[in-house]
Amino acid sequence: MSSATVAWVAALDRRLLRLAERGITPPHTAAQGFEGALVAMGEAISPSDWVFWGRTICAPALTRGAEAEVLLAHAFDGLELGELAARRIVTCTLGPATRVPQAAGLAWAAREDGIAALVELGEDALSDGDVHVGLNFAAVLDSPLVVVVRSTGRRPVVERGEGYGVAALSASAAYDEALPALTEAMGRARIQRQPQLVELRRTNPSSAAAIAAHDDAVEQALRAAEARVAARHPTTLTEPHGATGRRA
Amino acid sequence: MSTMNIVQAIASALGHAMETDPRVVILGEDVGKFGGVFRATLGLHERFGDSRVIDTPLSESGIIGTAIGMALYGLRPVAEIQFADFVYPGFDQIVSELAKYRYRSGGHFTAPVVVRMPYGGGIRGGLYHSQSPEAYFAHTPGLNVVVPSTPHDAKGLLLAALACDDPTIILEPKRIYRAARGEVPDGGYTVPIGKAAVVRPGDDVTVLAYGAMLHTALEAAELLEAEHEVDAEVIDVRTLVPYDLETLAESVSRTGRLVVAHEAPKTCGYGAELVAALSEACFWRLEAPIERVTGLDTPFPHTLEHYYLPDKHRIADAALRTLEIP
Repeated sequence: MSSATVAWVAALDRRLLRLAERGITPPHTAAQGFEGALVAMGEAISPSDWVFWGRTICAPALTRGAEAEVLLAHAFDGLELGELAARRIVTCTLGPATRVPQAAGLAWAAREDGIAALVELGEDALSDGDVHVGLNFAAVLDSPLVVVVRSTGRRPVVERGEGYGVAALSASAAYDEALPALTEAMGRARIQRQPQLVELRRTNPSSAAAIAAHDDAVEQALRAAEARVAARHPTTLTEPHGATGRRA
Repeated sequence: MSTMNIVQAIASALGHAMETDPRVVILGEDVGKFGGVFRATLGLHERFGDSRVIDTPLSESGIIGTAIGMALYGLRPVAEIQFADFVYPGFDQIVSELAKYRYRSGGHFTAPVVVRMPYGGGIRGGLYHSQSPEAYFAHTPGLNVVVPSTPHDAKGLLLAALACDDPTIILEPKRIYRAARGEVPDGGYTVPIGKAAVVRPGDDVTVLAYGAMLHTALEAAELLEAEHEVDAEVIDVRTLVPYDLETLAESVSRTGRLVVAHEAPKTCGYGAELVAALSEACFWRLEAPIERVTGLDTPFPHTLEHYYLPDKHRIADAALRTLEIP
């Protein structure tokens, strides 16, 4: 990994955010200040681990060989779910945390294969009952599940772990601090077959200059994504306001 | 072949499935050491251990959610909801997640979860232990919905659900859990999902029912024959989604008269779907307006459940109306 990877993720994130703000794609959760953490998540997991992802840019997909074009095209019409699923990535649905109990169940099923599951959440999702249900089930079942919370410090996170008997740690969302924390949590989950809670505290976002260095590459990926989507929906090519005819 | 009641047939199916398929796990409230509140999992914890028969916290959304995760990894979870009335906290996991996994993953993920739940009234359980929520699930694309009415079908449908790659909701008629007895093969077999059963052939009027109501419909058919020389054909719908339109339409086209009976409230009940589908399929063969005999559009009552639940007289009266017999 290099700082360039973090900047590349940041550039993709900004583009997805602009597309969403213009109503061209569904809502996208900004990753500003968490770009390093997202890349670290992708690198802390092993190829056989499963990932339950939120609405931020899916960094593990990139580390598992998916192209940026896939993520951008997915944002247009959601039809890249299959490509992500093939990489053991489960994308989120309507509920902010419905995937937490599911991840607990999958991790339990996979525990004897040395496989763990990682689920990524924003701190606001902690208000959702599914987080309680998922942590409770993971603790009771001894599931090798790592729940990663992107935190801005507005809500207590690690304190929750104690209530569930779940080991918890806090680290900066900067790549250099997030990676060892996540690696440790994933390792403990696999070896001890116990759930882990990880708080990653927001840090400074990538600089505008670092992001700008990737603008051309992002633009190229966006064009490829649009072409992919247009091939699937040829009729939209003739519609002046179709998603494929606009730029963020 | 053994004589069993429905609870025993379910336990037999689960035991057979767990013996023959290591992917099968059971989870739910008190399903382990206690054997389930209705004893449908009795003895399975001792036989298969706590890694395959799992007592869970009291959370239906957790039971369904974790079962989904297990299924994504390749297991065949059987989730027990203690009473169908308790399923609503798990409704989001069923409707928004379980039912849609195959579709939203472009076919990469399947979630072959079997959700068992005892449903229906007749046990003086009051409004929170007597409901019939089948229409909610039948309305959700992506789910199979089945309702056995005999021990044979209870085992065969459960094994068919476990063999299916899509999720299946099994509503078990708890009123006849022990009252319905019959011959059940000791080994494995399946009852095909999507096939109705003509339980009592007849020529004058078609009566459709499922679950405990099937037995009430059969009583009504006997009454009609004994007192009015009416020969009613009684069909066990058996699988609500997908339903066996061919068998149902053949019968209605032949008799020209139809009565649909179920316990759930009338408005938007599952019977409305049957009436609509058979009106579309058999309109020009109908000799009389279709009759629905259902529970009332009220919460399920406690002391008045005998009044709420359709009985043989209400079904027979409806059949007579279709025949214009006073």
